[in-house]
Amino acid sequence: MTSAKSILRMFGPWIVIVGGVVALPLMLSDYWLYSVSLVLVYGIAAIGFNVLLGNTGQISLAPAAFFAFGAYSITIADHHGLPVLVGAVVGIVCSVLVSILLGLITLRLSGFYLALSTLSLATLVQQVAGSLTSVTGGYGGITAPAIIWFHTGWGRIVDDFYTIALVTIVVLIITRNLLRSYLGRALAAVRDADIAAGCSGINPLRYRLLAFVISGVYSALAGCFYTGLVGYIDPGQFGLSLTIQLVGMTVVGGLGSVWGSLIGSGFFVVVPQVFQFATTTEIIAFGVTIMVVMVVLPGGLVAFVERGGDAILPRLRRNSGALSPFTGREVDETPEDTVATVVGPKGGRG
Amino acid sequence: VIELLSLIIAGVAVGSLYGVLALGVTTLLKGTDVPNFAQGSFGLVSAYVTYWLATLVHAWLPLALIGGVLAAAAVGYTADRIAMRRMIGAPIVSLLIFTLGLQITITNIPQIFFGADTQTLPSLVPSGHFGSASLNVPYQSMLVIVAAAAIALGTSQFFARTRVGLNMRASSEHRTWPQYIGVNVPGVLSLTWLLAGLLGGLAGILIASQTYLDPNVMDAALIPAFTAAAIGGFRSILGTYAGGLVLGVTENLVAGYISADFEKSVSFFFLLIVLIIRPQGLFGTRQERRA
Repeated sequence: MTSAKSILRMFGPWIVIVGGVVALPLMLSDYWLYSVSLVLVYGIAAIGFNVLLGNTGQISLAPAAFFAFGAYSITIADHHGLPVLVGAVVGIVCSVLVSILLGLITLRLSGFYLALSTLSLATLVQQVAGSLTSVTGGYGGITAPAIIWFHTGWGRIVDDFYTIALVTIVVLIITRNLLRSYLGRALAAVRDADIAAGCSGINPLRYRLLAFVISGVYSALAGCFYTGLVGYIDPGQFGLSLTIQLVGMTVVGGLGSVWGSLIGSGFFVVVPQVFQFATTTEIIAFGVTIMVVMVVLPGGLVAFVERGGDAILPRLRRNSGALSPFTGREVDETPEDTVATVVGPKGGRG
Repeated sequence: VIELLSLIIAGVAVGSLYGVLALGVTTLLKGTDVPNFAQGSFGLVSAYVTYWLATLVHAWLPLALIGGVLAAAAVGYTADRIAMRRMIGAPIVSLLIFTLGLQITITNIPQIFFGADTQTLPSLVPSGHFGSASLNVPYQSMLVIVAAAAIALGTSQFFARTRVGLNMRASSEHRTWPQYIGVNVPGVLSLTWLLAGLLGGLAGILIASQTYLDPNVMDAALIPAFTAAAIGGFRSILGTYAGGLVLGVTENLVAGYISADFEKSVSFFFLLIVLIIRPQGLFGTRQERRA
């Protein structure tokens, strides 16, 4: 029996969120609405990236490349008179294929190899986008189509915002449910104890590959809507600094937390605007934040919100014993219990 | 044949630059197991400090060079003392992300002081070249080639022959065991960072003197440098240097005979091929668990 109370408890937060999203354009200027849309777009990519980095413990430095796949696919499709949706599908399929190919080669090796080969891929994609002038507009850039599903008549930016907000909410729900299912626990097991996971019938390679593909797809999706929002793309937008931004959003927000990715994205888009930073200062502040978080607060902002000062103080007092960014505990504490949680006491799928 | 030879010579010069930058990467991996994506930034520090000392303070050029390299070494040492030492034993992903933060920070600092414009270092050797008009080696390239070879040889001898080099190898092997025989492991790790900064600084000066100086000049060399380190199996110093040379020559041959558009993809394919066929590197000396 589901009572009205339990229904309210289940959907209450979502009603608040949807209501907030609908009402937001009434409260914000166009400029801030644009910023919030940007937060959501980066948030989508960061959520996907977090599945790989936070939940699986692997690092890819190619989100910018997959971002570019999405961005250029819809732009090129549009310039050839095809529907934007076709472009989006092509971009996502490209991301999946490239992820699988690259993942099969490098995921057998340690995390550092994945980072290196993906960084190499990202550089290559950026250069290809720059040199195929006839298709991509080269380094000069190319105008991009808008993606708008709502026509409110309140201005283009409001339509953009509603579209992006809808996609973000869908992505949030899907990801949260995925991570709470068998998949999420299997990823955590592979991250914390891959040999034990393998012994329990969880193929580490397969789950790493899956997480890599998920992160690629989300990046491509974010690339599509980013393009629709900014209206103009050039290869310079998809460089190493975009990747580091996404890494930073994920890490600062909190590894393994879906909401953390959005918080991190908001932090890095909104804070520089509040303080009116120049671009250079903004990026330096960004880099310093990443370093400080890695050393002092590996759990990210979410851990800080959840546990307050406890999350940061022990780190400042002690001088040894690195913290794991995934669990917030000291690295030496081995999380044997993760695998047991996944497979259950008798090894069945929980 | 003359075209081929001049392409190869130019390739060796470029490859020497990759090789020297890669030496720092390999040194850190060999000594601390940290993949350092900020290696190019060390080069940026030394190049900008040298530029500042030589053209704005008007210091004597050798002094400016020494100042630049020391500044880069200091940055490497400081990074370890302030942060990396607290992260001993942290997952490799955390270390890697930290170096990314360091990279993006250092890359943007010069813009505050010098702007984003392209600068040039004062030339280290007289302009002009050696050889005939059709087949020649500029003095600048000769300097790069000779200096790179000397640096690579020196570093490999340092690791093979000196007590400190031995301690570094031991400290990377295990974090506590060397302490039982009196090795100060955290101190040795700091020294390794110092050495990596030093090598990065030398690489930065060579790169900036061969090409130009702007905040992003080192980025182009970073991926080739890591690929060179991969060819060396991330452990072998001379293998890394040789990897740089192979990469530079291949890039130039591809650019000369196929198309300049493909030049920059050479690194990517080299890297993939090395990872597929020989993850321990073409010159790798030992098998270890890579998974």
